[in-house]
Amino acid sequence: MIKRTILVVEDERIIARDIAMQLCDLGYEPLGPADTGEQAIEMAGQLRPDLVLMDVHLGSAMDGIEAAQAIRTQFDIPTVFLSAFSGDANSARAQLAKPAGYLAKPFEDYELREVIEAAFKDR
Amino acid sequence: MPIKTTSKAIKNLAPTTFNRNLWLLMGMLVLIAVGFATYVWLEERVNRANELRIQSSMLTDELRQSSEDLTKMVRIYVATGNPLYKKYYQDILDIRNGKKPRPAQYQQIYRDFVLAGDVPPDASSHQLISLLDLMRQADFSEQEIQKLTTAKTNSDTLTKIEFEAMRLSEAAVVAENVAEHNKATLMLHDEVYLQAKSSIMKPINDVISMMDMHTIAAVNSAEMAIIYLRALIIVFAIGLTFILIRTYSSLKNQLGGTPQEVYSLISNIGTDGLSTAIHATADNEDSVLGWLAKKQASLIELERERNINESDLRIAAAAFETQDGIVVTDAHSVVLRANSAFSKIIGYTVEEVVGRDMNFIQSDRQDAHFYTVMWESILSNGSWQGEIWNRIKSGETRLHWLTISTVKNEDNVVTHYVGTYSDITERKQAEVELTKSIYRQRATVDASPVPLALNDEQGNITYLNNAFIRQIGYTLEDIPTIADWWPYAYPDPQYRQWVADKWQKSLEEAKRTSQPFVPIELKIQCKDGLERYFMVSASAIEGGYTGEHVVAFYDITERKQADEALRESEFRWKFAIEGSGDGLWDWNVPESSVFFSTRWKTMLGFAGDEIGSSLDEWSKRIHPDDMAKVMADVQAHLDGTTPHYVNEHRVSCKDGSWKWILDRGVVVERDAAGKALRVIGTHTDITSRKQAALALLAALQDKDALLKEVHHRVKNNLQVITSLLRLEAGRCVVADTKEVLGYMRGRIRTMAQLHESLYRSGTFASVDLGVYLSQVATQAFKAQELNCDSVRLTLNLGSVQAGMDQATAAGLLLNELVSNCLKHGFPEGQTGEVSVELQPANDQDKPADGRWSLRVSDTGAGLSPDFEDKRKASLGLQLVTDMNHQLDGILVIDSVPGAGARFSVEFTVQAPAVLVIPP
Repeated sequence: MIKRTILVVEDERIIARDIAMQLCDLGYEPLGPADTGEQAIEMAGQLRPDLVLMDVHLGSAMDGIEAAQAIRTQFDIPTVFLSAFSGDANSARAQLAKPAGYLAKPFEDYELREVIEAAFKDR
Repeated sequence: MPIKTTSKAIKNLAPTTFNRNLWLLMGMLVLIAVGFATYVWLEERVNRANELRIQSSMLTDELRQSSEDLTKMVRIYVATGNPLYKKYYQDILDIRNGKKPRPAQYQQIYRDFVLAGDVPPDASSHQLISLLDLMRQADFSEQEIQKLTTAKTNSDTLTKIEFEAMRLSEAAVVAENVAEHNKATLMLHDEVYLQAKSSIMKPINDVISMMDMHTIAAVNSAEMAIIYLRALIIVFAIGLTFILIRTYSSLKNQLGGTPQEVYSLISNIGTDGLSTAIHATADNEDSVLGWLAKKQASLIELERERNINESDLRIAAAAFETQDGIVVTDAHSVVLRANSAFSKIIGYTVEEVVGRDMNFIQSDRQDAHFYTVMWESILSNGSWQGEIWNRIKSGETRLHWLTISTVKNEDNVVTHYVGTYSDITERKQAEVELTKSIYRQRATVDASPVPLALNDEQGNITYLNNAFIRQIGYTLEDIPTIADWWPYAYPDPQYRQWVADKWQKSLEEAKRTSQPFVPIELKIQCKDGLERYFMVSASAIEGGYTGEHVVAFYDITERKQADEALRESEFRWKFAIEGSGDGLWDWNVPESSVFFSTRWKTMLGFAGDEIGSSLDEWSKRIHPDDMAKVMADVQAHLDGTTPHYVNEHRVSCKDGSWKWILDRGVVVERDAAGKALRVIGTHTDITSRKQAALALLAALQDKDALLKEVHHRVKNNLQVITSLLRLEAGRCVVADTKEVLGYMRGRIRTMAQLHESLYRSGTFASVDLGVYLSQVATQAFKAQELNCDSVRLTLNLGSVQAGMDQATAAGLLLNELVSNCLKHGFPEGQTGEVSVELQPANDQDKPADGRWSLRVSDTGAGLSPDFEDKRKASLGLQLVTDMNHQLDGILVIDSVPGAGARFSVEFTVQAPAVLVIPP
């Protein structure tokens, strides 16, 4: 069975590594990580992942919401937002990107699992 | 009399011409009717003769036709031998002789149709009658019947030949003798046969000619009679017309015009009376119209005379029937006549009065002496007049004005007295009342609390009332004239002059406009030397102010002093406000004008004369952004919705800068309808305060953003730590270490959760402890994935706000307790329940002492006997002890065997510390 691929977009490398490890444990194939919004779009175009895990706050000109919107419209790939504050992902702007899920930092193993499973279930 | 003559003339005239003409007309009409009836009868006769002619010719024709048909039948029979023709032959004979019924319409063509096989109409219903009998019925003459009988006899002769021919032919057929058969045929065609046939036709022809003759004669005679009758009827009609014309003209002569004219004239007289004039001419003088004209003329004359008499009478009656009562008596005072006015005055009817002595109405109000004097006057002077009391019918005595005159004859002897009465009781009473009222008015004037003075037209003061003397002090002795009054009242000559001018002006104004005198406010020096203020007004007693008039003085000194005091206090009040540094405004709402105090103007940088007094001076300087709110607030207070008007808004200053103004006001005067008339308020410069507040707000917003960022960073860092721990745990092979790392993550999660809750609360100062602890418990429970299916978590947490320090301690404590329960309470898949409660310690919803109890209990295995040893070894339970200490709480751990363990911490929830942001 082919593993589902998930692109991790997170400028904090330690967190990115942690997520990647957890994804492996859950039986997915992590891609990336991408540091910036621009990079995320580029990698999503090249690798065509099944899902994108996107940090809302990226240290780049383009933030996570903008990147998620572009990825959704260009490649039709769903995004799960990661943020330290639930308020960010619940904002009207974030809702415009139609996220497949939302994860508040810090998150537990089971939370990551549940949100990804829900995202794939919706597909 | 002319009327009687005319009625005789009508009687003579009527039977001679008019009746004769009527009788003639009747006769004529009878004759015409008889002539017309005869005419109709004759016409009928002509028709009957013509009908007979047609019927006769049809019967003779039938006889001829039957003979022809018999010949035809016999010839065919002999030629063909067909017995059917013999039967037809016999039928024709039988019908002619009345032995068989006559078919309908037999006189028409019949036999040819029978021969052709067309069945004739049902014949049985028709009469059995021989042709000869029919002819007799048809009114043929005897001569004609004879001729027809001859024809019939001859026809019978021919029949015999035909029967012989038929018998011969039948025999020939039986014998098959052709010669015999030919003989039979010849018999029907030979000379004898044709002669016999001719002998039948000849009498028939004769009958036809004879019948023509006699029917035509009948018709002709009848027609002749008709022509004579027509001529006769025409003659009668002409005669009738002539008589009608004569009757009409004689009627017109008698009436004197056409009946329509006479009718319309009479109907006019009926409806309009005599106003429509009838014109009689010489022609119709002796006619109905002529007599009507004469009668009308005489009636008009009579009417005119009557009118003249009536108007004479009316004048006399009117003279007698004046408003004054008039009585005529004879020389002995016996009433002869009285008019209705008199009757009305004394209450008796005229009939009751006539014939009585005049003294019947005399009252006892006046003594005998009065009457003696009266009669002396009448006898010596011939007349008397004066007031006299009489008793009238109702019993009351009334005062009358009586004039008695005497009427004397040629011998200078009194024959009649004429008395004229008028009732003056009420007038007399009114006079008395007037006198009384004058006295009463004087009393009123005296009693009036308002000082009053009466002046006459010569400038004398005629009267001063008590109030005048009491309040102003002067008496009539002091001021007998107005000229005396002036120097006393107005000692200052200048003021006196002003008063004199003003008084004169007011008087003239009142005279000119006929309006009441407009009171003047005057300062008068009283007799005691004090000056007092009065409103002084004048009113004329009898029209115009030239004559006598009353002058009234209303003391207004006290009101004046009150006004003065008020003015002074208002001034002080304004001064006080100005002194406080606030600007003052006083708005006259109906006039839309505002008094702005000097301070108000200088506050905005203007000098006193740079700002007018229109409302616009303020409203045009209001900041556009504040305008709507200002107007709404002002309107709300004007409408009475708000008790005061308060608004903070910006106003532009002279130098173009904006100043924040605290504007406060209140309506101080409203009209009867509640509409605001006057509003007073103040302007306070709050620019510096406002700027400070704005700066503070901005600083707060900055700090808020900064705090958000800090919390975000903290949470992000906590995530990094969590990730590090997880990475380490993933790499670790020692189960114990892995578990420890898991616990560490749980503790960090608990703290991160607090940051999230603080962020959500928006204040960063406090959290709802119940909500936060619920999340902590749920997360801790979910993180222990092992038991999540078999162990249930129940939450029952009340709502209370707690500060960050207490929340951190409580959160960590709860995390340890839940983890502990799950770790030790339910070994190897044992099922059960973990319950978390946060309730007031004393069973109150909101404990006043702030004591709350946090309890964690399970239905698991309960505390192991070596729990105390484990407690010392376990970091988690040591943390529980520490956190409890930090909360300053009381920790109770107990275990119910078979019912699990129970941990409870009772502590005081502190009011959250206010977050002080350093400037």
